[in-house]
Amino acid sequence: MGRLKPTRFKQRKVCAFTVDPELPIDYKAVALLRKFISDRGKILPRRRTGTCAKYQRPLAKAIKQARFMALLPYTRR
Amino acid sequence: MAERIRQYECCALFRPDLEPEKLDAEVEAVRALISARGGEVARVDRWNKRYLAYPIKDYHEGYYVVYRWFSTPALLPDLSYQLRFSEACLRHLVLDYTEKERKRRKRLGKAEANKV
Repeated sequence: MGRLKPTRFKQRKVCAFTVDPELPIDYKAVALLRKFISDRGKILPRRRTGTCAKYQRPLAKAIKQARFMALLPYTRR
Repeated sequence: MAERIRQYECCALFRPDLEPEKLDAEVEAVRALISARGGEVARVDRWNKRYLAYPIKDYHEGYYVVYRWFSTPALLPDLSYQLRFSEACLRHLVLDYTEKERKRRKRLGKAEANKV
């Protein structure tokens, strides 16, 4: 028999934007958006960041706008 | 139907090799165009020269200028035309901030109400 996988306890993630509705979801807030992209420049999924669906939608849009304006990379090696 | 006044924001990225006077002229040209077409310019933010996340037309940095104004949508095609065919402008993005501002004000209003 294979060994049982060790149980991993996950920290409950909360949506940063629900906690603080004043956080601007805007393409100009580059420092904030950087927390929601991977080091390859990809948009992190909700399961990684804990962002709720309501805020993930405008967040993804803001990241794409920031990419267009060359504030964030589309990709990075 | 009368067109409503809306709040817009335009972010324009200008070439890094412009002389300061030329950049001033370009920034002013956009502001003048908005005003001339009946827009009320609320603010013009000029950022410092900034590195781009990826090169555009072989430029690695550029000047960002952010305009906020109130107007009808009528002037948007002219604005895009001017920026698109401008030699100095590398990228521009025009967004409607009316709803976003309305929601922000509403939220602030609620927070104020809770405080009292």
